Amino acid sequence: MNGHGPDGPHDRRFDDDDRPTGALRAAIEDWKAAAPPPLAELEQRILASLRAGAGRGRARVPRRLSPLLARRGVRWMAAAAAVLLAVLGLAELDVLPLGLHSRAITPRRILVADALRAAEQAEQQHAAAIAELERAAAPILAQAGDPGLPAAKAAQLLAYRDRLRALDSAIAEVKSILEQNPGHAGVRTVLLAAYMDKTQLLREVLALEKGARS
Amino acid sequence: MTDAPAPEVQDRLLSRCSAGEVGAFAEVYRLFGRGLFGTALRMLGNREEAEDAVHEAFLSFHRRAGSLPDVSLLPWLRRVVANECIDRIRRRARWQTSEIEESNLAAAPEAPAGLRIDLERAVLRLPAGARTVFVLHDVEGFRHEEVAQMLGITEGGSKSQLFRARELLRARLQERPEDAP
Repeated sequence: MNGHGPDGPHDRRFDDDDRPTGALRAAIEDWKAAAPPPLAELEQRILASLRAGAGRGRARVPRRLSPLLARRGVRWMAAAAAVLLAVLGLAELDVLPLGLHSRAITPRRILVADALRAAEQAEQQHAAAIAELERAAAPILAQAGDPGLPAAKAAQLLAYRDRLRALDSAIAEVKSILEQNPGHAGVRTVLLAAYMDKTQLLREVLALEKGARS
Repeated sequence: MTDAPAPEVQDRLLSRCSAGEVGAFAEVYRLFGRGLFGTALRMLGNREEAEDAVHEAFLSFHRRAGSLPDVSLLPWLRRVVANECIDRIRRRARWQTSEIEESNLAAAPEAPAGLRIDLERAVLRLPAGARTVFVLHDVEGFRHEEVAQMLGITEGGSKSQLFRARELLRARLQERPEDAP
């Protein structure tokens, strides 16, 4: 390592004589020292993307979907689209079920048996938790059709119902790919992200009811 | 920026990354992620964009780890992050969507008092070119030669933008807060 190659920026900082001095330099150092950390999720997002092979041109794992869903109603479509895009990207590039390619899946990206079992167990736990949340949320979502419900509330419930349907559709697509390539770590990462987002959405629906009662 | 580990430690990490070991990338992130995020945040002034820039930089690192020339890991990563930020700043200008939002800093829970916030605000109010050169050179420590290469300008252009930035900053830091528009 010499740090002088065309891709290697100079490692010796502040070594020219045109550097800030005095109060400006002190303010800069203070500014740098007080830099906030990134969100903890960033590391998980980066590693999930790397495992999915995004660094080599495959689909990125999107920014966590739930904060987007919670913040802005219109973004749910982008979130669902991101999951679908990830699925389609993986299918297009090297997952075989669509019959587009005959390349073998590289061994590095195949989960070994133990990891696969662990991943399946984690997914089953998510699925069980989601089933329970769905049972609890069903009567709340069913109110969307109640003509006596205030319009704003009905619109809110309908929006949640649409978001959940979009996620269900994405999950079904991911699962159909996994049936043919159960060991594909990238697809499993996408499925897990979709499960987490569905869990979050259902919790938000339940929180609506709690808020209405209190 | 976090103190960098010894060069031989970075060498070993880079070798493991070159072999495609995801755990090695995780170690690189834990060592340098916060510092790289700081660089991106100072350049972009927006947390979400800064996180996206670091995300993209790591994907680029992953893509190229197996074929990197003889580089120093941390300076190389800093350069990748800086280039990613420059691309984003250029895209902003192209689409004229937004300038750096001052509200992003004002709303930050860590928002400090005193000189630092004055400097942050003053930097945000700089013209985009001067701001980028100032952050790259004076804050992140890149040399004029590197800044010029990254921005596609001459070294003289970099020096002149920096001079302009410092003059504006000095003037603004001397303003009383209530004088600021």
